[in-house]
Amino acid sequence: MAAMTMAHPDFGELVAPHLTALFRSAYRLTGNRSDAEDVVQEVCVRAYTHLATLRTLEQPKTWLLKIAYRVFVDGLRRRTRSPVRATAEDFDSTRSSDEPTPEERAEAELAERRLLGAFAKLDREQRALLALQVEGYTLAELTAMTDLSGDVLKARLYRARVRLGKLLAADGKAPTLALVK
Amino acid sequence: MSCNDVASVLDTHRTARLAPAERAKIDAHLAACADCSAAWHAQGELLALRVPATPAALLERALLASRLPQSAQPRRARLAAVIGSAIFAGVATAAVTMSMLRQQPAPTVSSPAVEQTAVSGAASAETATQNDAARAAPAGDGVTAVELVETGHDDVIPLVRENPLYPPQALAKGLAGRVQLKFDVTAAGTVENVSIVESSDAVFEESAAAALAQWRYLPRILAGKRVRHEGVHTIIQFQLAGYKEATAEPSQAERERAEKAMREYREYGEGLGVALDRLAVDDFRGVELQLDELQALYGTERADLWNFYGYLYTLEGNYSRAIDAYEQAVAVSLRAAFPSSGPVVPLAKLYFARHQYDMALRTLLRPGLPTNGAAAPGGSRRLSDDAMALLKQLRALGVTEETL
Repeated sequence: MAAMTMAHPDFGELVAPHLTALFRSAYRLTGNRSDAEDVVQEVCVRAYTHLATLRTLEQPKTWLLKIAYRVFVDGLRRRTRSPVRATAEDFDSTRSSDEPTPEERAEAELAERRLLGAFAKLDREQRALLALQVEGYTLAELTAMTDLSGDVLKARLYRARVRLGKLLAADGKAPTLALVK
Repeated sequence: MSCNDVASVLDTHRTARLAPAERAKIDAHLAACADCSAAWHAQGELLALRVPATPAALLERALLASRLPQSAQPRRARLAAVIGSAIFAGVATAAVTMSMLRQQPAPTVSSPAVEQTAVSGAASAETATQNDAARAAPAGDGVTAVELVETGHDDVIPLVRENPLYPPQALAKGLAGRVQLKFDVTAAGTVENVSIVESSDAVFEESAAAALAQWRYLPRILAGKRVRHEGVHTIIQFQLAGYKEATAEPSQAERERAEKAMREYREYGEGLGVALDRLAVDDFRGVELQLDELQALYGTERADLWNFYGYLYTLEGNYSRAIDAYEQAVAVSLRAAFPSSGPVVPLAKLYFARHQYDMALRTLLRPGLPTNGAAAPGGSRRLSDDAMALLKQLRALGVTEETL
């Protein structure tokens, strides 16, 4: 129905190779699939308005992830997507390719839920830094994405990890699987 | 080995590639340093998180969103507010479907002729003019209202509705009326086997049946499967609301506004039709994309879009998202001019399925929605069969108004 303007057919070609990288980082940022898709969508919407810039870049991936970082740290404004909130149940749909037993799956899901629960207690910048770092980007790339100096970046990464580790340790004393289910 | 060294190992992704001697030094430091131990542990857990595969349709969706004219959205949303409440609010027990232009002077050329015929009796030439005009703008003639009252089955939700043509002979005589029809909704959501149960005047029957045959419903779900639903009843009312108010020749702007509203209405209906087509072939992701697009174009104040989301997530077994969507449908519906009972029973059933019995009951009895009678004209209590069945189940479990 809505006529899609195809004025820049190469936008898709520019973005497509980096979509998985964007989605993976976005998933780590948000902890669920639908919010991750929202982040990727918002990144594309913003990138599209700077198409001319995008065309000239040698490292479009870093640039796109920089937008993703800003989108997340500034808070995602939901644009077109349904404001249906993702809840813990969404994590249930995460499946790994190998077939674990139901108990293993339940344990893994519990661990993931614990992790994501603790992760959600970090502030946005801490989450964003950890998410991108764990995705395998170098300190130089992170510096480019965040505009933080190397020393500040390292200090904040360390502090974020310590805080997450302590949140996890505190949560470790929480009920086990048998009590939760 | 210092804290900085440990951080550096983590920062440079070297945890898995450590020589045994270095690993031993790190272990010694971790045993003595609570912060580094926490940091090390946190990094390990983060690395262990499974990230799902990139959704197949993500690129399509992102590109679609990128190319939507961003500035056009508020304009469409405003327009939606005008026609949305009247036309699109209609689900099960919604009232007026075609009277959105009632407050405005009649926007098409037909009105003067209508006035004349109504007052002074129909001359044949005028009737012919009236015929053409009514056909050209079936819902935009500004003088008629067709009302829909759905009885019995709350979980049968009409999504796409072709507006009935107001029979010109009835219009000429200033005749209002109602037709009760019975029909089947197929598993694909189309309407079949339309029959007339009763009508106030035979003149309305053909028009009502012809329109109904074009309608599309969300198919009923039984045990997780979409099934054919036989014996659905609906009542279509033909009213002449606003008939007398329509006096002046409409201005160009008014006519254009009415035509635009009708165009939007048609496009929106077509968009929902596409979503239903995708649903019929189990393309759930495609349905969601289509709904996302419709929501981008027509705004979030649409109960039937939320109902569709809720329906889709229910089919997919994602009950928490389904509940969120139906809650949105309820909220939107309560803000609309004509509250709809559409989301009430599905939402109550979802709460019931999740053993949240008090929420199920609260939903069924939520004030302001027609199904609980509070907003029904005359204060009559109109609980649907499905709502009644659910209430009975709740009572059997000891959940009643008193226990809330």
